[in-house]
Amino acid sequence: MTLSISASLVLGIIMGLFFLPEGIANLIGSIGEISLAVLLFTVGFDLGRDANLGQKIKDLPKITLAVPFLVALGSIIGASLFSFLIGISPGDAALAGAGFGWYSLSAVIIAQTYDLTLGALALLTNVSREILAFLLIPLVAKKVGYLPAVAPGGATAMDVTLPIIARNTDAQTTLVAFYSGTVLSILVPIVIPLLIQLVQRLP
Amino acid sequence: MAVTLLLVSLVLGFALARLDVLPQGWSRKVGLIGYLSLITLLFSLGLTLGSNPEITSVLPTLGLKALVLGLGAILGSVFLVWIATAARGSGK
Repeated sequence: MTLSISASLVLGIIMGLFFLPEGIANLIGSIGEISLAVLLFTVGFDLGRDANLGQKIKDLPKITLAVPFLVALGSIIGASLFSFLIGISPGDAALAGAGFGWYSLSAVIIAQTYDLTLGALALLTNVSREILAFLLIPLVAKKVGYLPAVAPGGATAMDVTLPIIARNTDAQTTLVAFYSGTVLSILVPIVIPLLIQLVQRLP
Repeated sequence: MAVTLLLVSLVLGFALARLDVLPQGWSRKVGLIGYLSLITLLFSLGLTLGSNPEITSVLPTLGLKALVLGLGAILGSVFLVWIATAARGSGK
């Protein structure tokens, strides 16, 4: 299944690069939005069929409440650690990582209030994160665990990557993913301006 | 993105399943519909990314760096969640 998902993504990118006729961008946006809505309908349906869902939510370990904050911290630390591989400052890398996968918003805030080039890098970093998340979620779910599989998608765990999480984990984890993605989406416009202030004060 | 539409879809799917109003055999069809819409979604996401000059123009210079940072963010967040949940014996 991962193969057909990757194939359709890559095919889309190639067709977008070379063959896309002018003026159908809006149509594509609508198709994407409708397919996402249908997809979320099926995710909701699967959750609703689970008769013991209420009990399962009660049985969730307390640590699940902390998941979005762990994802936020891990994203920022992970990106700043990897900054040394590509020769940029850890502070700038932390900012790019703090988009948590929400590429449009993070890039706009960074480009408008801090630095244009870093805005572009943040955009691509979070696009990469979303694409990599699609490929890595099934692997993380199988090899590491269900809750860690919530992490790769970051803020997109509430919408775009939620179906992949739902397909590769269970109903409980799907709910945690929705919760985590929602909290992270709220955190993006809070954490990025705070980080910008912090980075500007560093030498 | 119309977040409201997405929330309504999710709740509607949940409600229909809870009320059990759909005919027998629908559950398998819902799975197939989900799969097909996932493929469509990914294809349209690819189209949107590939045809966006704002993204493709900076791709050659920043693409590799972005991939490294994106991977770093993923690995860092997976690691922290794994540590926290494994310590509680509830990773899976």
